Amino acid sequence: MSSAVTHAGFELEGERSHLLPLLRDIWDSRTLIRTLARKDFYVKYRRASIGVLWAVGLPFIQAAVLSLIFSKIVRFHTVPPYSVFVFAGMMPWSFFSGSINQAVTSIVDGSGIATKVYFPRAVLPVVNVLSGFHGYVPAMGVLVLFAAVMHAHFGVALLLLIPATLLMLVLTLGFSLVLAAMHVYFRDMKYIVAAITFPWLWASAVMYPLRSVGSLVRYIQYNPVVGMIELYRAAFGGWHPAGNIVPGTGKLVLISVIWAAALTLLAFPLYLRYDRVFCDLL
Amino acid sequence: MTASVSLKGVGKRYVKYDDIPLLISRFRMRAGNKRSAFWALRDIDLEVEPGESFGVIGRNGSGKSTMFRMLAGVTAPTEGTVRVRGRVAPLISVGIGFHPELTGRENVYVNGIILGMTRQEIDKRFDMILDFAEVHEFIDTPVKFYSSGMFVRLGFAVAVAADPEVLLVDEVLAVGDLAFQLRCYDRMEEIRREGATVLVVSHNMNAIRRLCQRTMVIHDGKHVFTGETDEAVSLYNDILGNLNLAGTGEQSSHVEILDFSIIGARGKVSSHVETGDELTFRMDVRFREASDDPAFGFRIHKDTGQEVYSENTMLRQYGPVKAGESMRIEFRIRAALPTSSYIAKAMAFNHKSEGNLRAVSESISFFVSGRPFVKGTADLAAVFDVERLEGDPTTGNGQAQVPQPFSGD
Repeated sequence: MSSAVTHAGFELEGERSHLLPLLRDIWDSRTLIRTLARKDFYVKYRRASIGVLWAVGLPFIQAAVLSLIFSKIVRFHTVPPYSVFVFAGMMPWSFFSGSINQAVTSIVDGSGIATKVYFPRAVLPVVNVLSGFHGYVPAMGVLVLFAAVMHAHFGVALLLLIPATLLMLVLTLGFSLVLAAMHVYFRDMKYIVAAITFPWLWASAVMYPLRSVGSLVRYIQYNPVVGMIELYRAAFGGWHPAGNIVPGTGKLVLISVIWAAALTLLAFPLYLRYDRVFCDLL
Repeated sequence: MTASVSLKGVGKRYVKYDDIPLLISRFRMRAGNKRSAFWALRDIDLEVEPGESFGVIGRNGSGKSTMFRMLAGVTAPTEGTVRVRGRVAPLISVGIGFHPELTGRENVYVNGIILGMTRQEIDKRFDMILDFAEVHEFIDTPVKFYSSGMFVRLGFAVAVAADPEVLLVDEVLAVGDLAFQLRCYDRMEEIRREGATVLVVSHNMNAIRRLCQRTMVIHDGKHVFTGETDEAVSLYNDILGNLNLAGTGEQSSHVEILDFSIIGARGKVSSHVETGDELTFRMDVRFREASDDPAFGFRIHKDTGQEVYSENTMLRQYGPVKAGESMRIEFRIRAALPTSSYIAKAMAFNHKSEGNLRAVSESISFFVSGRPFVKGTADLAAVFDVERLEGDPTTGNGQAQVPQPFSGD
């Protein structure tokens, strides 16, 4: 099993990379990706005394505060119960927003290694997303437990978590790849992403059910994360006859899928063109 | 086609973005401002065989690093082809990817995988890495507690353990203590004998001469010379000499320097000497105007600009000279100098006259290969007297005999 990209040597002619060699290099980098992701995750929590618990704790605390406040101010009737409803939306949202905010600088931050050793640059944002996923998995476990305690109605629907997670990963990856590449050229990208994160959260139906926004759905539905979040909710009993799944959920999910696919496809020409020359700007 | 490294017509163009924020300057580029593109390297051809050690020298900004980046595969050429066979291990800066919070052991694995080793390969070579780095008792300590020496040793140990087929060495040996540096040299030599290609970039001509069989000189992104290392080094010194310290000399209406050259130990013109060699600097001058009191001077600099020695013949009577008369002046020295590149200049002047009456020769550079372990400005050739003391040193019976510094041998 070869993990080495540079194992057999290489031939470079012109600055543009070719599709097949680049794909092969990325595939050959899987050990590198796994190792770096584990290292990233581990290093992040190493100094903290309760360590990895933070990875689970943070989205939980956010969701708890939000559901506490909102259940006092506006009483949304939701299925699953409102706290589960918020938590189920908050989980993928915090993974998504946390990942893209970190991934946007991943290529620039990786310049220490990246200017010395070659590996496909796409590895860096991928590592970022994967590293965040290490925290996502236990947090998801806690969410399922919490939902059970709160008597959310779910059964087979829980299996929807699998496509939901996949959709979340591809969507996050698509955004991460494109934003990280853009940030090498436009160093404002990092601030732009940070600036839109907060309004984006409010436009993402995390704290409120879609049916409560009335005709605004017309615009909100094109938000790439809305479909993803609705799919998570469906997994926690939103599919139930009494659930608050809006009739168009299928369409929302489809919009999310299209976003994910489009961004991933956009990443290809970007990395084919710039993979070997990012380094010149680092 | 057995070359393990080959460059064909390689050129690399960079676009300068100046100080304008990137976003804005990108748009300005679109607007047709193409002036700020420049070639960092152009028309470079190179073939290096397996088992060969090859040096690349040139001044800062000559394109060496750009070339190494392409050999490492981190950047692609704008034109031409770069071909590298086998695994490349860059020693460009050791310990790349070392994370301060991780232990030595964890960093060895992460760094090894970055360099393209598999987990199993690292397992197999772990003891070897430890032995080379000599960090046994600290291997499970976070590397932030390492001394810089330990850090570098561990980094180097991992890089050479990667069993590279092409080893890129960029100034890396400027770090660590001397004993470790020597071990690195040995290890690189070993790797080379096993069939790997070693490419070295350095400003340390001694390292280049020690490590490289062939050497390329590049200047301003262009190939100047490829061949014997000694020749390359003197060429590099010439380039350096020509650029440094107002190398072109000064003209005078009174006196003209016809020639200035170094005559080495064996009586021939040479820019290569060894410490202790008898060296002669010969200057031929022709007086355009008569002078009552001509004088001649001579100065040696290190290539860093630091003056090593200068003297002139003022107050000694060599005159008067008539207009049109020529003279040959020789400055003979013993090269009591440590390893370095040096630059020499000669002057001819009439110290009683006013105005621009002084002529300065073109700079010439020469390289001294010195004795090992000698550092500083001059090689004073110390005599070491070491003796074992009799009796118990604490009683004061066997006091060390202080050697007389100038007793000679």
